[in-house]
Amino acid sequence: MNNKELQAELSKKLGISQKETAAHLAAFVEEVNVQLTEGKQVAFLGVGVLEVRKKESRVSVNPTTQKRMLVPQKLTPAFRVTGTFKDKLKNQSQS
Amino acid sequence: MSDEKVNVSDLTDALARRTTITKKNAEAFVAAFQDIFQEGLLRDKNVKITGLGTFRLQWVEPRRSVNVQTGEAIEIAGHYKVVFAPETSLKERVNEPFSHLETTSMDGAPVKKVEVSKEMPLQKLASQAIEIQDILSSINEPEPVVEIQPEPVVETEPEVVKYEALDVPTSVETPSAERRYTPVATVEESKPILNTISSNASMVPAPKKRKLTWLWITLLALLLGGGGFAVYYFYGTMIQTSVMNLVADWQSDKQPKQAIEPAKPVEQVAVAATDSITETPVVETSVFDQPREYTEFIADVRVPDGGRLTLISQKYYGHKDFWVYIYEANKEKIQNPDKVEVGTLVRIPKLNPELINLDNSESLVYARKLHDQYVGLR
Repeated sequence: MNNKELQAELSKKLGISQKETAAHLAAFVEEVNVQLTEGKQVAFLGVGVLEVRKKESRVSVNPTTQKRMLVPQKLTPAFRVTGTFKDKLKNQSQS
Repeated sequence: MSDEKVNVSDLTDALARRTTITKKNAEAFVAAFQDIFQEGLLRDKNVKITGLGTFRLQWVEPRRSVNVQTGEAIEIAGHYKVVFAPETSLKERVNEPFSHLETTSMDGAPVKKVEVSKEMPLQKLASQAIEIQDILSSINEPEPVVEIQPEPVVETEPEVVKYEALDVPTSVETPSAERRYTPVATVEESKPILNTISSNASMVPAPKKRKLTWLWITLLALLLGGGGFAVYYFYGTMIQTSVMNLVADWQSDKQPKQAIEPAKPVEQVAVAATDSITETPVVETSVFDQPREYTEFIADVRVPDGGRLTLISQKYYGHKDFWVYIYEANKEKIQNPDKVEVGTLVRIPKLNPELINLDNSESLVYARKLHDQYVGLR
């Protein structure tokens, strides 16, 4: 499901125009972005949590040149599945 | 990271503030979004949200494992897991606090350190030489004062000392300096030659007092002269007369003294050896030590929006670390090398090719040292 399909379904469910939905969705996404940037967790109820994780700096070695590189620490957004959705995933069979 | 959670009501409040919709509608929107998100994920195994990223269900094959507690073999059933691939924009925003960090190479060419282990035994010889010198001087006269005029060989500027001291830890340099003098100290045959010479030399008039700055040059001259002598002697390939000439040169300015004991040569050499600890003799990286003057320029560049000295350096010198030279050449126009104002006209100096030779790791090391100097200033 891409962004367009998501928008279409939203507008159908809420009974508002596609254009309006698009604006709301953009605002929603922006809000999630801001919250994540502040280091907060954003819960998608029933599915999981979007959070920020810190990756420590590490030394990586290029296997062909044996060059050692220092990769700095960084923050990355990550998604964690919670509660009931885990069970739903378990019950999903491969398709 | 803080574990503070944003719940649905916070989200709806913020959404209502951002848009014109009422709180109730915002609530409905968030609820609908979450429903559809979940549905879509389960149905299509893939939800893409512009501005956030892609959520995908990935199949994990069933695999065998062992129950850690009982040791019983179990099978983990195949299942789906959620994979989230954030968009680059989100990644960058989240990583903002660390965005200035870059991946750096850790191979800083520690070539010189290898020498240390090889030359440790020679250090021992040098300390023996000093011991012998002590014994001999206690038997003979009180130690002579050594003062020597600079030889014409020396062309390096006094600054060499300063830069070299920064460049290389003295402990690394010391053994090599001592090694060069030890052969003279340990070989006995050199003494007769030196004796005759020092008696010749004593006829030359004594020099007067010199300024402090000359003293440094003098020490350097002594080092180079002594080093040269050691090398000539050690290889035994030089004709004796030339050695004698050299030594005569070398000693011609010493204060006169009776000085016919065999202890003398050893003493002088030992003095040279100890002097070398505070100084560094060989000048192989002279390019880096010379004060840089920027007289020729290869280009003038107006700093574009979002432009940086490092980018300019990358373009003209082939590596971003050489930005320090651009900064040095434009110091009066640039207050803060981290934030060069847009539209500043910087001149790109023509540099000694050795200075920006990427094959020579020395050049990078040196540029980074300068970098630390300038960035550390503030």
